[in-house]
Order: sequence, then structure tokens, then C-alpha cells
Amino acid sequence: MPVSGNTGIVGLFEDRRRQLLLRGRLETLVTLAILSVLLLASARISEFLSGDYGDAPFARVAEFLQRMNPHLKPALLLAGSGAQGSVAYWFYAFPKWARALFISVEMAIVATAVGTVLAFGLSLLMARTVTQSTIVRQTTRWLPNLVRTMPGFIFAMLLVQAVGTGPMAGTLALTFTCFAGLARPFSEILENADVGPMESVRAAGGGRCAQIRYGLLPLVAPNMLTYVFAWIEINVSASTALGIVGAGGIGQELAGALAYNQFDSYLAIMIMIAMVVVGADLASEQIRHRLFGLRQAR
Amino acid sequence: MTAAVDGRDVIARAHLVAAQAMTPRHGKRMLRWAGWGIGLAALVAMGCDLGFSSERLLAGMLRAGHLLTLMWPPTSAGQAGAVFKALGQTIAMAFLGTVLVVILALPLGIVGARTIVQQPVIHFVLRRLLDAARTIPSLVWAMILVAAFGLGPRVGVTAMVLAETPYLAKLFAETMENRRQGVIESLQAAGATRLQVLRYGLMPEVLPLMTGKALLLFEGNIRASAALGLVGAGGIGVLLDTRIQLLQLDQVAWILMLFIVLVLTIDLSSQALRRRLINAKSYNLERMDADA
Repeated sequence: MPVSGNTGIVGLFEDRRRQLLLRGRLETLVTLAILSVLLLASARISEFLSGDYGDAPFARVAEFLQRMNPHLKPALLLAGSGAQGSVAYWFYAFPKWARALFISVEMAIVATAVGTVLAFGLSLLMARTVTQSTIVRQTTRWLPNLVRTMPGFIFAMLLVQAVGTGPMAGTLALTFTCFAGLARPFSEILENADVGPMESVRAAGGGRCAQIRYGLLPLVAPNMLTYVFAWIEINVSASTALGIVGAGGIGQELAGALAYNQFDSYLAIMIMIAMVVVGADLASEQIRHRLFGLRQAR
Repeated sequence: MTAAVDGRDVIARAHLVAAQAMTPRHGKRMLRWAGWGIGLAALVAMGCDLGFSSERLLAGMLRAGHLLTLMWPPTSAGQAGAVFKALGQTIAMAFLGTVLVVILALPLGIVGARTIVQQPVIHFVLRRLLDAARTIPSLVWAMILVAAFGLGPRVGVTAMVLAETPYLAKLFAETMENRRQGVIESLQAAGATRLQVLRYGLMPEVLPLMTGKALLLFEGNIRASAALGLVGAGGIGVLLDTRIQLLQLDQVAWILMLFIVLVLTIDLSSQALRRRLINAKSYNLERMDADA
């Protein structure tokens, strides 16, 4: 219906355009309104706005930062661990922390290795290109999806109850999450793989194993490895926190520092964690570039 | 060629050549096997260092089986109300955390994108800061925040924001750098101001992609906020923590079942929404043309 008084094609076009614009803006407004209502509700529920902050919250932030401050003294910076204000005094338990961090990295490596092998085995059962049986494929598909819904820390806590505190529980928890996280991309890679080479191996008389080893694996290995490297990075970062629930590694030292109110030690350990995680990221990047060339790098 | 060729000799030679053709680089092959052997040995050594042993694994499996029997039958133990309230708190934490992370990451991402802020020093410093901050898991933040500011979901939200803003900012910056430059350049040629370039050149194209990333973040945050409860930062994790410590595993199983249903529902709806967003991108582009 022409409203603008203009009749003819120009008027029609203008009206239609105005309508479209109006509708678009209305949609945006409604979306924003819904979002703000949800936002207000969740701010209330999570006590972000409504909760009792106590008196002078900013003073408490300042006090907290003050307690994290290691109080380094420029004159004593390189003095021995006995002198208050030196770096050595701040990192007084460096060998112990370094050992705990080393355990965290070990946990990540072992978990990624075992998780990768398990995920590869399961993904063979999940992929149409390898497994013909529909029943096997449908049942195996459920497992990683189910495991993926659970946060790794719940696993870690349950495993601490089962196998006791220590790095073994954490390693097993990381293995579970890594396995579930890798199985789906692995099976997708397998499904998208060209079946030609496998069929030629079969035509040459190769058995099932030979078909997978020579016809499929060389084709899919590079793609799979990029996911494995991503998971090494994820696991290194996750393993540093697992000790908080008693599952071994540097997290236990973090919890200890808090138990004794040593906020400056906490900061020191956080700095060490950051350095190790950045180091792991860089190392995995280097290996990826070495393996695949720059073409496939992220 | 001599006239008298011994047939058996030819076959013997063929066997010799064939064997060599099948194993062309014997030394390299040995090296590869040695590499695998060393890797495996290192793995076993690390496993021993971590305290893995067959008897501990066996005992652990037996105990895990016992714990599984404790999980059955799942029961709410009359605390369904508290559980639903905690689940609601978890959703609220995840939602608020996601929104705050997006709001904070957007300007950081814009400043961090090389194509928008052509100032190499700012770009370099910001990117390296984001890289460093990205490495601290949210649980590590949460624990110290709880120690400093007391228990509660508010601390969990703060921890999520601290841990995830750098990650999303980096993602945003990369997304914006990967956009094609043509639209921006033509807007600049038409005399658009810096803000107008952002509004009409960048946002319509980047917004759907970013919303997709935000939805993915929300899915992850539901899981993360459950974990945050383990250190007392609110949500369903608090209930899970006490029940696991007290070995009330039948209640744990009941809560986990609800949680899995929640996560699956959110994942599926977010997936559907993300697919719609990708489809709607072309429509948005059309509308932008009409808008301009």
C-alpha cells in the first residue's frame, strides 16, 4: 500500500525499502530487549549486581593486590634466598614448583598420547569408510558425545576418589577428555578420506590391517596430527589446574600457597605456569611447522 | 647379453632386486623404528614417574566399579529444589560471563587487529599481553579470587571473564584481520569516518561470525562454571563437590544426569542457532546494501 503519496514504481520501491528497514530495526530492538532481560536476570541470580559486596570493595581489591605484591627491593634483587625482597626469596621453593610443573607437563603428554591411540581406535569403529556395520557405528558414536558433556574436573574428582590423590588420577581424567575430544574430529577425517587407496590395497590382496595401515593412515595422519597438537596445548593448560582437586601437578602447590595465605607465592607460581604454557604453545607450533610446512599452520 | 641365459639365475636376481625395491632405505627404516622405541620408552618412564603401576590401576578399577554401584539408583534425596536452583545459577553465571567477555573482548579485538589499528607497537604489545593472560586457566583465577573475596557465583563470573577475555579478543582480532579489505577501502574512499567504517564496513560481516563464536563460548562456559563450583565459586559444582567428598554418589549421578541433559539441550540449540546465523549472513549483507 503506497503511503508516501508517490505512486508508481519509485513509490512502491521506497515503501518496500522503508518497511524492510523498519522490520530490521524492530528485530534488532526485540533481540536487544530479550538479551537485556536475560542479562538482568542472570546478573541477579549470580549475585553480580545484587549481592552483598561488603564495605569498600575497591579497598579490598587494593589490599588483595598489595598481598600479591612480592615487595621486591631493587638493591637486593639478586641477593640470596635469605634476603627479604630478592627474587630468590620470592621464588623460595623454585625446585619444588619446577618439579610439580614438570609432572603437570608429563601428565599432559601421557594423557594426549594414550587419548590419541584410544580415539583413533574408536574413530575407526565410528567411520563409515572403515566400519560397515551400522549398529557398531551408532553405538560407538554415543560414547564420546556423552563423555564430552562432562567437565574434566568432575571426572578428576571422581577419579581421585577411585585411585587416590596424585598425578595418576589427573592423567586418567585428561586421557578421558582428550579421548572424547579427539574421537569426533578423527571420525570426521576418516569419513572424508578418499577410499581409493584402501580399495587398491584390497585389490592387491591386502588384509584389513594392511588396508588401514597403507591405504588410510598416510592419507589422514597429517590432519589428525593438527588436532593432536591442539590437544597437547589444551592438556598442558588444563593439567596446571587439576592439582586443585588433588589430582597432581602444580595445582597442588597453588592450593598449598593459598592454605598458608602466601599470595605472593601464588603470583610466582602463576608466572611459572604462564611461561610453561607459552613454551608448550611455541614448541608445538615449531613441530607443526617442521612437520607440515607453513601451509597448514594456523 | 650372452646367448645362454640361465633361467634360474634371472629369477634369483629378480628376487634379490625385488627385496631391495620393497625396502629401499633400510637405514631410514631402522631409524624410524628406533624413534618409535625411544618415544614409547619415554612414555613408559613418564608413566612410572606419575605413579602408574599395574596394581594401582587394578585396585583403582575395582574401586571405580564399587563407586559405580554406589551411583545406582540415582536419587534427588529430596533436594531437587536446591539442585534446580544451582543449575539455574550455573546457566546465569555462564550467560553473564559470556556477555561480559564479549563486551570486553570486542574493543580489545578491534585494537588488536592489524588491519584496523595501524600502529605496530600497540598491536605487538597488546597481542603479547593477551597471549600471556590466555595461559592461566579460569580455575586458577577462581581459587585466588575466592580466597580474596569469599565464596559465591560472582567470583566465578569474574574468574571466567579474566580467563576468557584474552582468548576471545585474540579470536576477534584474527577474524577481523581475515575480512576482505575491499569494503573498508571503498567506504574510506567515499569519505566515511573511522566509526562509520567500523559500523558499515566491518560489523555487518563480522557480527554473525562473532555471535557464532560467542555461542560456542557459552557452551564451554556451562561446563566451565560447573567446574568453578569445585573451589566454591557458585553454581552446580558446589553441590557436586560436597556430594563427591561425602561419597553420596547416588545424588551425584542424579545431578550429573540433569546436567548432561542441560548441556546437550544447550549444545543442540546453539548448533541450530549457529547454522541459522551462517545462512542469514547473505541476508544481512543484502540488508546492509539497503541500509547504505
